[in-house]
Amino acid sequence: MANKDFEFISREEKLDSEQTRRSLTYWQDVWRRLKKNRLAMIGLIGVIIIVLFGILGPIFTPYKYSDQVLDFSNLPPRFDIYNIADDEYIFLTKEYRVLETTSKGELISRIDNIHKDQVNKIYYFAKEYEVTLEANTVGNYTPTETLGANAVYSTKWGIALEDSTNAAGVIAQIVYIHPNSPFQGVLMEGDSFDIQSNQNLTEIMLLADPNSTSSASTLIEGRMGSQAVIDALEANNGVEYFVVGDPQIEVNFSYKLMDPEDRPAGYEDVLITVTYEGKELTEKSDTVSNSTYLWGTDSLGRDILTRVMYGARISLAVAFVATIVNFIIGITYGSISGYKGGGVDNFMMRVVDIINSIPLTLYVILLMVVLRDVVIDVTLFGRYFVIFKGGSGLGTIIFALGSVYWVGMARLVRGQILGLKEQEYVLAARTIGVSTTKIITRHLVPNAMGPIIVSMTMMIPSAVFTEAFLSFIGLGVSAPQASWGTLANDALSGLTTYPYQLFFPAAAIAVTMLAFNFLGDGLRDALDPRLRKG
Amino acid sequence: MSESYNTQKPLLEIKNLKKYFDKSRGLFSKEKRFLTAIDDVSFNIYKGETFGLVGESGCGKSTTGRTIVKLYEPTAGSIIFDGVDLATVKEKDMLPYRRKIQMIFQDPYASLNGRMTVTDIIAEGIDTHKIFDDMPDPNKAKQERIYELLESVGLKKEHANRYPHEFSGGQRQRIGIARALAVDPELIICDEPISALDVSIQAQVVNMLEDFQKERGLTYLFIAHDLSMVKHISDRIGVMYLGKLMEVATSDELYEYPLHPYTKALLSSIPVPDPNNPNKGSRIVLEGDVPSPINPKPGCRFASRCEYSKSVVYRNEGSKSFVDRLEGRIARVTLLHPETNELIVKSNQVITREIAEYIDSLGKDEFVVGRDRCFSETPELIEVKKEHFAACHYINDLDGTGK
Amino acid sequence: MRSYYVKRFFSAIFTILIIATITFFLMRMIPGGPFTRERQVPDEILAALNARYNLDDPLFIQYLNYMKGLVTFDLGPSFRILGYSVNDLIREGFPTSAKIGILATILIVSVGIPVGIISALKQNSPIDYFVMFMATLGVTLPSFVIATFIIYFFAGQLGWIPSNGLNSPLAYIGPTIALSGYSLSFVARLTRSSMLEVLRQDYVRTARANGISEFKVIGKHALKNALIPVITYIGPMIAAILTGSFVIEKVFALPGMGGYFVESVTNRDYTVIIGMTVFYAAFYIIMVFLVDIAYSMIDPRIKLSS
Repeated sequence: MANKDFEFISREEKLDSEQTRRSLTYWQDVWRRLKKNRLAMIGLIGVIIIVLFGILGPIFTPYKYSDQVLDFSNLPPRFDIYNIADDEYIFLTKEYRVLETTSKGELISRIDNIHKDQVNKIYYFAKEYEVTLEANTVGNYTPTETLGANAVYSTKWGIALEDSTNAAGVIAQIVYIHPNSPFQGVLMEGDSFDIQSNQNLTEIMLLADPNSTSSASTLIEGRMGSQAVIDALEANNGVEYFVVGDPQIEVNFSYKLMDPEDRPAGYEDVLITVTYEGKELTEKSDTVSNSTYLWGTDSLGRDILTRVMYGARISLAVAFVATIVNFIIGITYGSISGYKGGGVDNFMMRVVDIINSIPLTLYVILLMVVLRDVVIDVTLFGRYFVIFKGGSGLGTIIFALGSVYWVGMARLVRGQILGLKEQEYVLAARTIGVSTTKIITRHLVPNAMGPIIVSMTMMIPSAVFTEAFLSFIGLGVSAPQASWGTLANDALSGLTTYPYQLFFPAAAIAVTMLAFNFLGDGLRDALDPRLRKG
Repeated sequence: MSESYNTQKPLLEIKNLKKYFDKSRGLFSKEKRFLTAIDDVSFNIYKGETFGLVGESGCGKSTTGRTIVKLYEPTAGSIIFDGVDLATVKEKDMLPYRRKIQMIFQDPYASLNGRMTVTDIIAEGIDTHKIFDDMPDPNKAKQERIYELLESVGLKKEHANRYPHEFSGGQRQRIGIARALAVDPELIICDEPISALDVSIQAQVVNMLEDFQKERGLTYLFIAHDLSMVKHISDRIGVMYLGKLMEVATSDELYEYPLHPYTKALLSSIPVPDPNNPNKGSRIVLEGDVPSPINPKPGCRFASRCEYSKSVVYRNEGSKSFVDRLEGRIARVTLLHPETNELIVKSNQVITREIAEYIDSLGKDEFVVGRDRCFSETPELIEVKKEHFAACHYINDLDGTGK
Repeated sequence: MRSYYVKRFFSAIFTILIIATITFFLMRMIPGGPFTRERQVPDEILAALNARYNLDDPLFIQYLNYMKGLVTFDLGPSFRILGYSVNDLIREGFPTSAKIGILATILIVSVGIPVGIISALKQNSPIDYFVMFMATLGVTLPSFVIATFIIYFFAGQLGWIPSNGLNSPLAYIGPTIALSGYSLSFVARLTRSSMLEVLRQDYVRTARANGISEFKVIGKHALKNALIPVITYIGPMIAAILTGSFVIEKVFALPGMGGYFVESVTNRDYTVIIGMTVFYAAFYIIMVFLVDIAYSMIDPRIKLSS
């Protein structure tokens, strides 16, 4: 090649030969790398879902976390239903309760148990007529006739019952209805229904009558149980239930205890039979999902889905706030210790070492034990001030977590700063005369953020775990508030019977921790300076 | 600079500067171990000149630069800048002086905070010293100054909002220079500013530094280990070895008439890109190990590797016995057992009575030991010729022949 | 070398004393605290406390009594359980907890380390993925989740193991697995990543190039170095087992010290809480100290540097 084959470029072109690429800040670069990591993205999505779950969930749920419906306690998310009549379905709970449901799994109401045959394991339930009364129709209906001494009469409802024994057993019969009784036209004199021989008529009536002159009425007042039921019913704005006779639902559990060989022919596979209006069902009609309580209910009839949502709020709130507190204390402590160096650093790290020498969880347990009962008060100038009130609220848990786990962050930050403070850009800043605070906040901490953020992302699941742990051993938030740990603890006793009660909070904890762990691992990889170009 | 140095008052006077680092081990050790990074160094820098400071790695030149700007607190000595001894100024009072002395660092990849934009980096000094605070529109003045600085170092306005990682090494170094210039200093310490750059860029940067010096009347302390580059840019040069100055002279004088053995060895190691170089083959190779800078023994630091620190003890000379005269001296050769090749005595090791007797038993007539004062007295930096200082006991009679 | 041991020993004692002091003063902050009159405390217990702690004495004297008791290993009477002292509870419960703890440790070491090694050797194979999957689960699922899962599945559904108590050898299986779950997974992951790191090193390649059998390469050369980070995990592992025992003993209804501790927390049995906390802390510190000594005897680097 000869000289003439080459063309000299001008000086400007030479200087311009430095190529520039699209301007990316450090964090944009990190995000780009994070996006490529599938697991980390799954984690991130998981975290977002869980946070939304906790924040928005309680807004959209029709239940409050403390709403109790005792009739609907301990219901699973999926259950078997029996189609007893055209549009009528029932569900038999493990506690031998019968609930009326729809074909889609919505719960309607409880059907009362009227008596049980313990020997043959047959339970009798009777459907009820609902009679809606205005509140002020509760009046004094003085009987217009003389009633027999055996009759039990309610001046509130204007009905009299008498019991008698016949070949079939004991029955109760309506012997009188007052012309103005609200049940006029609904019931008829002569209506009767079976009862057990040892049952009290007034109990069966489930009606209150404190004003009756009948001697039986004084028995009602003494019977605490029925009064409580009556009060509860009355509290429902005048809706009363009156049990009338047939038809009733008969549930036979006796086959459960028999060997298949002992069961009658055709019933070898049968465990439960349900009989209604003469029709016998030997197997369930369907298994449906619980449409009223998507995740079932707990032992007090509270919706588990709602409680897990509120639990998310509590657990995540504790975790985030505690992490932020740890972050603040840890960074301040660690950066002062690392930057000052020398004797100051030595002393501060000795303190950290002493704190660190026993399992930190022990401290937290100890603190919680103390804080839940502590009240620090002082009487100044005759006035009484409460400086600090403990208890089992979120505040105390956050305080306990925040005052112990900062040591990890402090150690980390100190290590980072020790390494960074000899970097030339820090020396340059010192040469310029930048103040110590500005050096720490502008130069040191931002460049240490990588490991700090990873550490924080890993602190969150750790805090969730610790809070669950505390709640599990009884040191968490107090009832009826629930964190996941408390939910798990409550569910523990019924584990083998109602496993779902434990499953959902446990799954929530597990998913949360997995999501944060994946995200944290991904962040650690994305922030690794070795991978960073130039 | 052709001014007579002796009459002008120096901008910076370093007097008996010492910086020791405490490397003592453990809480209860009795013996304190000090790393003598700078051990009694004195020199002056005059306004407008470039003073080069050279030496091999670990000789303390970078530490000197950093101690001058008080990134390290001096253990002893004075740093007199414009009449004020900075060594006595407390950190909280240092701010006004920090404006006058700035520093350019070696590693372009570590000297800029990757999280800050170029504007922020350059503006930091301006903000800290509140330079434009009394102007009607400080922000505008600041921004204009930043653009001005960028352009003067060969960058563009568009670069102002970019991040360091988007620039090459050479460009980053220029940003560092712009940062140093932003506060309008009088003295700039250049700590190996071009060592990490490509050779073609090195020349550009050095030229730029020289231009700035002319335009703004700057004074430089140029720390480096590349001798050919230092000669080009420096007016005077100081040669350091293990925390002490070995020689100080103008750069021409140093290169043509080096006095100190160490300087001579350094200069001979500069590769000459000339295949017909008449001096080929005359490279001085230094033998021996670099001694440890921790708790150094008295004597010339360079003695253990110096060609001229040898003298011979003859068996048949002197009044005392051979053994008596050998005992306590420093051996300057390594002696192995003729048959077993076992090590008897290593070079620079003290000859004990036992070893002396052994040497005697071998029947040797002479033995090379260390010269009298080299290993026992530390030489002072004295003015051997006009404006030419060297630290060596035998500077006028190196090879002992009296020349 | 000896000065190192001595220093560490005194440091350990000092820490224990500080913990004891902190615990004592924390407990005093509770109103109607452990050492003053409280309505619900039966008189007999109050009498025992009084005899032991002289509740009417000034604070300082009570502190001295408490410290004196610690030094003589007497932790006082239980606040709630008549006739029992804290020492009694510890004496009864500790063997059970120790048994499970030791079994768990053996499981962790004998399963976690080999599994980690195999996983590293067969990196990216199905075995590796499976192991890593299980290990990730083990590390992220809390111990009570694992424990309740074991009970529900293996005890409830399958009936292979009893669901509570320690009446048969089989009963040890559930608690041991649940207690070791986290640490086992952690050790497996740690061993694996450490092993991978070591196998990349030049000295391993050299050993292989020199023709040394693969078994020896791994067993003699790689393993020693790969296990170093694992050994440093022992301290935290003891902590994890210790705190894990609270949950495990509660879930499996085991008569161990952890179970008593949790009960005492629920019942506000303060003397037991303090006593056991100090005991746990002291136990942990001493264990870590012993491990440190054992470790320093093995690792030549520490020997030389001191």
